[in-house]
Amino acid sequence: MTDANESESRTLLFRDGLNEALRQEMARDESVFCIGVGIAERGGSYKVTDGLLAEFGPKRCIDTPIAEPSIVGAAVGAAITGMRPVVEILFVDFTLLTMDQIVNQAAKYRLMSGGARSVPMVLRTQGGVGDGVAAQHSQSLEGLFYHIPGLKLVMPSTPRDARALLVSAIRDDEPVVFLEHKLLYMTEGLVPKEEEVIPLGVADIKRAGRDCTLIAWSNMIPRSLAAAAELAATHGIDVEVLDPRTLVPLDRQAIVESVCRTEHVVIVQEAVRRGGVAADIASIIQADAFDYLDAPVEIVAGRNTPIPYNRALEQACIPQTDDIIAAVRRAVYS
Amino acid sequence: MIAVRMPQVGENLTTGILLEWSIVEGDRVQRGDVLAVVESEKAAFEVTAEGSGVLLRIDCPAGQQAQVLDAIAWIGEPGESIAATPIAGVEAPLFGVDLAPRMAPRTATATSAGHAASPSARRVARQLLVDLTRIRGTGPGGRIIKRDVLSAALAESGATPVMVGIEPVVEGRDRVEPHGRLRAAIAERMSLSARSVPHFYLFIDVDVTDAQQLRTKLGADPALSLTDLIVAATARSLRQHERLNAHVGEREIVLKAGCHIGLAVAVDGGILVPALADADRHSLPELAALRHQAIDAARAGVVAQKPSPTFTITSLAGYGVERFLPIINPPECAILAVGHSGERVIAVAGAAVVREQMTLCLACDHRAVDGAGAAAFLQSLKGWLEEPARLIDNDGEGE
Amino acid sequence: MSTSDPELLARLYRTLYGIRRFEETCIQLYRQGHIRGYLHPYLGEEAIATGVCAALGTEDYIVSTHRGHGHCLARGGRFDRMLAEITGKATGYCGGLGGSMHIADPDTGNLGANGIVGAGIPIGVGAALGATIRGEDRVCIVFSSDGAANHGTFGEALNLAAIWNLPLLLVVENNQFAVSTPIDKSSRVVDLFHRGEGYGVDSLAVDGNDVLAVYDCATDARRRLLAGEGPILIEAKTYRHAGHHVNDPGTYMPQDQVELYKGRDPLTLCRRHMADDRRADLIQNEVDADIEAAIDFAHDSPEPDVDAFLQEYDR
Repeated sequence: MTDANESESRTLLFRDGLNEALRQEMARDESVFCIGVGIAERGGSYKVTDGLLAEFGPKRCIDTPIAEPSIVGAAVGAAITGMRPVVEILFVDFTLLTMDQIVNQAAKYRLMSGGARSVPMVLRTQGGVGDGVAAQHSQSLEGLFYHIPGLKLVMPSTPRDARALLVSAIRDDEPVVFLEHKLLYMTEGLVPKEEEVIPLGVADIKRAGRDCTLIAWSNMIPRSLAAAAELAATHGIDVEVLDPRTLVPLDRQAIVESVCRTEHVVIVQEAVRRGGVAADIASIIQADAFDYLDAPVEIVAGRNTPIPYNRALEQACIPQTDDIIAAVRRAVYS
Repeated sequence: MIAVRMPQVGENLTTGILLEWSIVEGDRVQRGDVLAVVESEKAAFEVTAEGSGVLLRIDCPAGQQAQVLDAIAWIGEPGESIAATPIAGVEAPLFGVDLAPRMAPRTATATSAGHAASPSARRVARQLLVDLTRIRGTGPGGRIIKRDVLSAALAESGATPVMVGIEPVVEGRDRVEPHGRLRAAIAERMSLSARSVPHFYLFIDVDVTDAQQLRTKLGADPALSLTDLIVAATARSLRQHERLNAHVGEREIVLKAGCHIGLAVAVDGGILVPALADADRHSLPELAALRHQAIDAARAGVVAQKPSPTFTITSLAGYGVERFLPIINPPECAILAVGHSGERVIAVAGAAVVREQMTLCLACDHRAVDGAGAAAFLQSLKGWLEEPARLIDNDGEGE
Repeated sequence: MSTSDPELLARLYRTLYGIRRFEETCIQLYRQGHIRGYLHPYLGEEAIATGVCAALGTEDYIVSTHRGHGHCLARGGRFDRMLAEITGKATGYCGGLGGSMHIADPDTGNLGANGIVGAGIPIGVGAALGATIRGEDRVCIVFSSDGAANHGTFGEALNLAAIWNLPLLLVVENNQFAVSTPIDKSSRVVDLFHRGEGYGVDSLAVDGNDVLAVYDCATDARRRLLAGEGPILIEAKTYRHAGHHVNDPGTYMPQDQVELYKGRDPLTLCRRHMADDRRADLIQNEVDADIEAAIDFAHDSPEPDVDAFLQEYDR
């Protein structure tokens, strides 16, 4: 991926990158509208939809009562009748309330109708550990959506990726779960001035390297990059950091190609170890790159526990930079 | 023929009892007529005719039990024989199927020295011809890892392995290249052919002076090559000598209805043989176009499975090779090798003249083809090529 | 009052009789092994789908339930393509991929039957919302049930329709049983139209076996929805002629109630309005012939192609 040229880019916050994408697409296509709890008047709890009400009016930026199943259901109904809704569910933990509409309705309508209609909606939500919001507001649930055929799943890690991927998600004719991370909203990055589209299903090498492939997504990318820097400086290990960006469809080719080159791989996920996406990626690597593995696939993941409130305990439950460094060193026998 | 079936009467109910028949064998019924009443645990149900006809036979008399959806009677026309018709979409029950575990427990893969080696280490050892049993592993538990193999290669040869793409190569050391899929397939087929097909070979020289002139004169687009003329001539000869357009079996020959000429094309990693389908039914320009398509497809690795060739032509003319002995591609019964065409000094009516000529070699499977038949074919082929105008007169009939 | 319009009555009767014969045919096909899985016949309730859908314009949407054949047919579904779908054939409305509980024909405004009780209501809200955003003159009819009335989505979605003034008609088909649970065991208030009042929604009840009453009620509701007076809730009281699904004999349904409602069979009631009995017979003959043809069509249709299916959907 080409680097954002300094003179044609500016620094943007992650949340503002999302805001730009929404603004751009809503201006471009009348069928795009936003709906969710507190997104209009207040501009959203994380300010992602700030200013959209003023610019596009109350028919395109709609506040709702707290009725998640019906909000998502309404998005499905609007999507199958010609609209492109971007529905926001404030916490991924609340998407559990909407599972019938996401799994049984949105993900299946295209098949059940024999292809008569698809469901071009985006479900934006956020998850992850941060700021001590405890067990019911800190989960990473991408594993659930990964497992449901009929859904696409995107988890951006940078402002640039977030903006360009949200554009693609809105333009996609299938339902997309767009899973943001609460600690990334206020991070900064270079974003090109002109419009950009990153296709879904294309991974990004955030840092090229020779010795070990480090696969991570969402908030584990900054942590992985930090680990890579430390590994290079202190241990002389050159790590390649690969960000799939889209989990469904997964860029298997990029992953397998990288692993065949480096022959050592560590997968990092904030989500709970048991049954997570990392395990599936490991199985893909095992199948497609078997003869190019010099060490077992390492997985660094969240502990199999709900997230506790106490800060130290909370942090002990998810991968830290040191955990990633240790895993890489194990993988390369250092 | 319509099967009358014990009705589906409930989710977990597998049998029903035939209470009474409303009709007898020989009665004519219309679709929708009530034929019988059956009973299951909870209720009684009518069985109606799915179609019209005569009730030919009752298989489940009154008072008897039958499995749900089993045939209890047959409706058809008098004289029809009754054969069981399966129901689409009804699965046989899986109860009682013993699904024995398919996988025996696997023992840890170890070298004969008893140490595990990573898959990478094994791969690199194969490529660099390093003996794994003589290496000490530095990984956990004595695991042999890639750098152990590379060190061993370095120690043995004194040269540092370098990466070429994703594979290591050591200068001055033999390098192993395992068979790719195509290479393995070629190896197997050619061995089979050499082993089991009794080959014999015929040579004939062909004057292509006129053919070359005709080719240039026609000036088609894409341009005709000599190969196109050879293909056209071969196709016509095969029609005249059908025993060479055949596949050979254990105890029989299959004379092929279609005439599909395979062209051997050199590709990355081996040879592919795309077929020019119905070569006898195309004009020369059409053959040229088909040839280009076939070669492009073969070089892209795509060869249609059907139709398979009935006869193959292979050429090394481009390399200046005058003649060569080809190996037949089973189950075909023959193959034609085309050599380089060039000016030769020959004797014509006692005088020395310069003509453009080439040598053809026909290899045949002696189980199916005898010398005379092969020779006659070659003679016809030579005839077509030396009077190439005839190829146009008989141009692409039947399209 | 529409009692005097013979053309309307003929149209309504054709639909009523068509649904009745279609459902009886499906039961027969099920017994013969040609239909698998679940089948929820609409027997006894035909007047609701018929009366409501006859009042609609071509641009309007309907959202249906698991007991959806009646709605689909009344909205213009063809016997042949519906039977093909229910028997899993490639020529069905959904290519054989949806089956009885998921039949949809979005091109004619039928957004689909739904296997999840109550799930269609928010989807209907979404369709009405989209129409409002685009400024279109169309309404969305959501068929639901007494079973759905106690589901979370019922209240949530009705509330959303109310606060957004959506052109949505929520038809609650109260057949007085949620699977096998009678209405008086599921709710203190058995007259379900009262639920709308709590959300500030205009609500009324209608005799669900009287197709003309349903038709008049729906016509008026549609007029009011287009005038911006929506949403509206109509409770249509009725009764099933059989159990919840094809293998449920419905032994929990009190016989005297079954007899009472069968005595008020919607087909009989409609026929009484019709002056011309022979016309009704003619209609029946035509429908019978159409259904015979549809059975043949379904039997002769091909199965969907497995490889093409995997190619399209196995991602």
